[in-house]
Amino acid sequence: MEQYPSELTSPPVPLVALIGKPELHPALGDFLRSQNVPRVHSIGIPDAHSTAGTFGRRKGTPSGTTTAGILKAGWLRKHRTSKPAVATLLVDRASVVGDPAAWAWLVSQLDAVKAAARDRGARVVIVVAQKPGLPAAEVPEDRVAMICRQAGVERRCVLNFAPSEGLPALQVVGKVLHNQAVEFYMADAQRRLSAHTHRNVPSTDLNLRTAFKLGVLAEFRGDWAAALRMFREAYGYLSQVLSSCTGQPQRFAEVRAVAEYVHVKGVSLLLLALKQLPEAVAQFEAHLRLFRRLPFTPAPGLLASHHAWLSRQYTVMAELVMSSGVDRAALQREQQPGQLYLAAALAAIERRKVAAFISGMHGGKPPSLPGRVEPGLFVGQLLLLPADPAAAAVAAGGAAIAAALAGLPASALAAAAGAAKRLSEEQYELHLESEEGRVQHSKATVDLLHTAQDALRSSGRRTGKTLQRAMQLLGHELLESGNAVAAEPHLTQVAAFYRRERWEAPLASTLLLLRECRQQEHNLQAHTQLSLELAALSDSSLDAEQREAMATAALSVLAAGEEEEAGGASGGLPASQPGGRLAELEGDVAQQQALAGQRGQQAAHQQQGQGPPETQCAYQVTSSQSGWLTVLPMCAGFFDPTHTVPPPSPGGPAAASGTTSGTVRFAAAVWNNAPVDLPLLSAEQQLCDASGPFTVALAADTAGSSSGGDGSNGGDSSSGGQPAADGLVLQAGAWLRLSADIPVRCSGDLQATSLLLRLGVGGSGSSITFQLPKLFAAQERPAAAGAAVAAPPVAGWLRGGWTSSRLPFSSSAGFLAGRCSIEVPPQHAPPLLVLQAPEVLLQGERAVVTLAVRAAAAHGILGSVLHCTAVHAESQEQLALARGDTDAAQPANKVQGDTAHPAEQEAGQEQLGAEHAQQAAGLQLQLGDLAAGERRHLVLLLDARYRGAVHLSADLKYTAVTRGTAGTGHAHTATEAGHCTATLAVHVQLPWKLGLQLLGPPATHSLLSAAAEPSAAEGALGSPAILLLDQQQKRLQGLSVHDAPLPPSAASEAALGDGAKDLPALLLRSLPLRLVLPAGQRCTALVQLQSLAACQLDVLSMDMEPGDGVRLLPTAAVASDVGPAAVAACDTLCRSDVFAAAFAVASSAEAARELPSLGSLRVTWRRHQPRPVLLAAAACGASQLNAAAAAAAAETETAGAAGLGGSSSSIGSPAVCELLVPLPLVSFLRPLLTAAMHYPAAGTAGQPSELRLQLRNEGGSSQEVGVAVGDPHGSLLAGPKSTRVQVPPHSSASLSWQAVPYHSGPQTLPEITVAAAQHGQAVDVTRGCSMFVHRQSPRQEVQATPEPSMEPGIV
Amino acid sequence: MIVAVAVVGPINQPLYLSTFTDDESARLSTLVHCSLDAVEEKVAAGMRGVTTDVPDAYLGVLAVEEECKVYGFVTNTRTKLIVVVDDPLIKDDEMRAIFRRMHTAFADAVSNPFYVLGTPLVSPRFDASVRTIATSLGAAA
Repeated sequence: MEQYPSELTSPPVPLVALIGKPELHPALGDFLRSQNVPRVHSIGIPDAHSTAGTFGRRKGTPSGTTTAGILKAGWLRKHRTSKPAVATLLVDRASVVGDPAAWAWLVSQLDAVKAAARDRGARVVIVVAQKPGLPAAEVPEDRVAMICRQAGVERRCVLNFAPSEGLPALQVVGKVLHNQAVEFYMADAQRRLSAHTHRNVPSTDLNLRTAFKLGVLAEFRGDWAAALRMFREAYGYLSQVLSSCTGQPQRFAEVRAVAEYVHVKGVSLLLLALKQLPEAVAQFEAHLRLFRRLPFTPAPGLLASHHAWLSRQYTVMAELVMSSGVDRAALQREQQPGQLYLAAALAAIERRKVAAFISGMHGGKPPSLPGRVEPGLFVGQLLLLPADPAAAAVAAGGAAIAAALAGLPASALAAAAGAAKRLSEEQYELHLESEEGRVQHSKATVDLLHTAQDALRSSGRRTGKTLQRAMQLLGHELLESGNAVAAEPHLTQVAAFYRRERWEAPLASTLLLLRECRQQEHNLQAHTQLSLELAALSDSSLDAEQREAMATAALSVLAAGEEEEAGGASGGLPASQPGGRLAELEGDVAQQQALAGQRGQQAAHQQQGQGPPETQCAYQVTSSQSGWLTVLPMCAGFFDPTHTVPPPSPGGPAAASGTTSGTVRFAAAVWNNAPVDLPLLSAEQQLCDASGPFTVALAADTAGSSSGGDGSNGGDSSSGGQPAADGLVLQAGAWLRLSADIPVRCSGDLQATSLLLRLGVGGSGSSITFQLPKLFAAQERPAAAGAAVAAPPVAGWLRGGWTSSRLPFSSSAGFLAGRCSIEVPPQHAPPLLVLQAPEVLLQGERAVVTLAVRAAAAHGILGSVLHCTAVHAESQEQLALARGDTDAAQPANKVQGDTAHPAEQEAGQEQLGAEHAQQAAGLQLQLGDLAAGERRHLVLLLDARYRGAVHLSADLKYTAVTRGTAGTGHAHTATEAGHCTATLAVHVQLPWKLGLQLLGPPATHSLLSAAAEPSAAEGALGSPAILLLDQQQKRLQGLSVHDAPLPPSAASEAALGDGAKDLPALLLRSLPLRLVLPAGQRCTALVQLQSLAACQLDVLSMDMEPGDGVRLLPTAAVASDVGPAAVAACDTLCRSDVFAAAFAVASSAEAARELPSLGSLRVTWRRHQPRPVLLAAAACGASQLNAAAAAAAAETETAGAAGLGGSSSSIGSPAVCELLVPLPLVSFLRPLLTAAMHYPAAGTAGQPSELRLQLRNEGGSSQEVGVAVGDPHGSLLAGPKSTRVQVPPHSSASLSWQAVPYHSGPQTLPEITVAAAQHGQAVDVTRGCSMFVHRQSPRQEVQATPEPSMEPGIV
Repeated sequence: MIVAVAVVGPINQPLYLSTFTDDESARLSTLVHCSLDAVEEKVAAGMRGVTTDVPDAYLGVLAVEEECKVYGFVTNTRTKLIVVVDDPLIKDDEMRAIFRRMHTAFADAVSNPFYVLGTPLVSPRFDASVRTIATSLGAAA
């Protein structure tokens, strides 16, 4: 839209003149322009006497003569900016209601305005303005009437305006002014229509002009429908005007420019104001349909300007559509902005081509005119001015001066002066041609193409192919502008796209451009390839002779290297495509380095006397989008080694086609799409098997394996199997079939990695390497389920009609097109490898894994090596494997925990280090030679350290001795490498669940006093001691000290949380984090071991090893608490059975202390069943047997091993496992409050005995203790029944009672309850205490009995 | 006037392309190729036909470039028949008739037992049929 003036792209706005009172103009003008609805523009005139000429003069009755043009160039601007429709006289209220002098001044102002507006019929409005800040005051009606009479206006045109009223007052003024402007434009339109109706001579130009002006006047009024109707009527006259333009380029250009004016006005109205998208599109199509074709054969200048005009139409339409905000989903594809921009770019490209032609006509210099060309008075017209138009204007006199005062442009001034002339047709053409020389065509086109690409991408439509075309055009324009570096990526991408789509003509045009880029980059190698590819495209714009010449030249470069001139390679180019000489490679450094590396390798080969012919250029074909596959599509693959050819005669022997006595057949066929034959120096196939890469020479195949082809063959060398480097020719339009019988070096995967073709004649040439796995990746992938579409077996673009549609090799002969990897079956009877392991392994044990190797009855094996690995599936960590015959002799397999004793830890670390070193590569065993039929059995121990799935793998590598007649026809002996691999997945389960319960001493009760210590009491609230006390308070149950085990759910979660943890660590996690025991007191540790295994387990022993600072007290009879189904004396546990043991422990010192561990728990166990259920896997050669066959083979091998009395006996004695579980951290704490009961052991009935309660507070603060006496249990008790005692810190207090028993015999002490008020804990201190009461005898002297001293309670 | 006729395979591979103007085969081929965007869009969106809701093999206008209009027709086997005309006033009914005749010729051509589906159509009879259809609409013979 930047190409047009603003008055053309936006609807016109009424214009009014504000006369007088300049201080009011800014506020009133701003309001009218921005806030009034509809908007009104204004111009300010300071005084009424300055209005002369402002409104212009109405023309007289139009004459009947035709005019010099269609539309005045400045008419629209004039009416929008300088010819107001309303004269608004602003006067003070004082001048209206003032003295006669003021009234006289007002009258003079009115007369001046009236006189100025009268000639053109402009409306007059008088605004009586109050002074700012004063309230509105009415104007006397008599004065208003006098003003109306004096100015000749209606009453509504006299307004009383008070600025202090603000917006309402402004709105009143704005409404009146707009209404008056509308009336003026209406009257003006009526006047023009009437005048046009009364013309004597009908003129299409005048009809068009009148309709256009009426449309514009309707736009002034805001009458969009009338405006649109008039614009359409104006456009309708254009076809009539256009018909009269034949042979008149200037006239055509004028009509075209007027059409553009009318079209833009109409479409802008439709899109921006009326939002009528379909109508706008229809108008656009009609516009282009009318003016796209020139009505006569144009000269180059006019043609270029016409393309520029077309480009502008598309661009403006796209911009209008995008800026209109209408829903673009309803648009047709060709009307989308992206497509419009693309069409604009195409027109711009055509313009650039014509401009290039013009430039060529004038020798690169723009032509010059004898003067200056300026726009004329009418739209689309040009005038030729002399070199100094101002001087001519001065010379012309007063008429020119008058025109200058009227504001006309210089050309109009000159025209008025008679100095400017219309151009002749020749001058006009010359002017257009000179204009084209000043335009940067490529830049404009590139910008348009970028815009088109952006618009296409954002359109949300399918535009993939259109985008590629836009990119091709972009590359072309960049190349035309000399920026080959920027063009090359675009063109390369487009070429790859068209290769994939297989559209020849677009590809050929792209390749021509890309080839030109390469030439400018001096990249001979790529240029040669592109030349050959271009020559291979039959549907290109080149004819057959050009393609053949191009191919011949490219071939000569390929054959002779870069030293040859490349000028011949472009010999077939059309004139527009420069060919040229390429003397040396300069552009692509990477390719030069590749070439240098290739030459270095070749030199090394030649020094060794085995080098291939020297090649100058090395091409790598690594993608199916490579251009070489356009030239040389190919098919390659192995023959099925297991395929058997039906016997030629019934009853005859069938023969394997894919392999013959130690060979595997590989074949490759290359089709030549180039129009010339391509001689080959050699063809080699790179292969790779388990022994490493190797190379095989390919020979022309003329034997029966090519029965699938059409019989045409470029090679005439000897039959397959014999290398024939000479005489290989890639004939144009024919297959060259190559094959080789590859000697089998070892069984297993054999992969064809690359095919190397050396092009050239004599001793030098170029090489092309086809990376086969990448080219045939689709064939290598297994077809998805249900996928019926098979991938094409040929890599590249195969042309040649019906004959080329057939496979080059017969599939009935076993040819596997596209199969670059094949499993080579062994040429010998492979050995049998059997792997057995328990179905379920227990974590922490060393499981017995057996391996059996049996050589086939017909073939012995040499140098066999067995490689075994065990990998934990979850962590991918290798588990330790060890030979069972050496390690199995050891009595136990120790598994160390993280907190074991230092000596054990050190020893354990050494062992673990050795095991980890072994784990890195698995276990490798040298089995040596096995004679035919010989068996070998091995027992391995697997360290089932981690829980979860474990993948066992055994890989046997060996060398077999084969006998055959391959190649020579005589019996010979050969060796062949082979391997067997058996894999087995087993599962490791958790065997145990451990529980630990600690019990304080019975009949002693205490509160732990750690928090009451002065140092701890003054510590922070979150100190460990306070936290410990909190935890302890939560765990204490009724003043008894024991650590309850975790809930079963929490324990199982802790045990199952991490599958990759050692068993001791797992069991440790199931215990409390910290144990708390009373210092110096006897405590009981109750250990419970529950079996989780699916099999029976034997617990051989369980010991506790106390840690430093912990004493293991004697006694503690080990209790065996087995489940109800088990025999009490038997330690064999089934699933869920519990083995329990109790240990008595105490701290070594009375003082409180914290120990790192209570000690360790040592458990010795083993499987109960000597022979667990086994899983088996077996492999014979490279193929693994199924489960049933593996089980049968395992049974056979086990029986064989038993017969031999071999190492299978190890299976019968399960390994003993020892589990060392570190116990958690323990804290021995002193009691806070001790309540000790002292009483006699015996008493006499009727005699008092003293009961004394000793309370001891070890804490740092006073403790209030409540003492209550309950049931006296047969005694009369004298003393406090219920009391509270304050025990000071670090001191004692005592209470005593006198108890008189009145029964004899054992008697329970009275019930005395002690409660610690601060902690809310209570305890019956006499529970379980009793004394013996003797019968009362007066003669018997009561012997005093020493008081027993109870152990202080622990708190 | 028909300026180009093309037959495009189900996977958008060109099977046949014939132009009836001089020195514009590359441009027309590219134009036909770009129009496949519209074919894919219309087929995917079920926008076949112009007026009826019933799926119609006739796709209508696919693309417009300068004075050329590209019309399309898709068969049940997803083969596309593309016709480029430079007559801006041609009607849909005329194009439908042209496509029907082309479809018949195409069916005859692929009925050749020696023709392999998906390969270029090199049948002289089919070429002659197409040229007959084109010249009937004013194309240069």
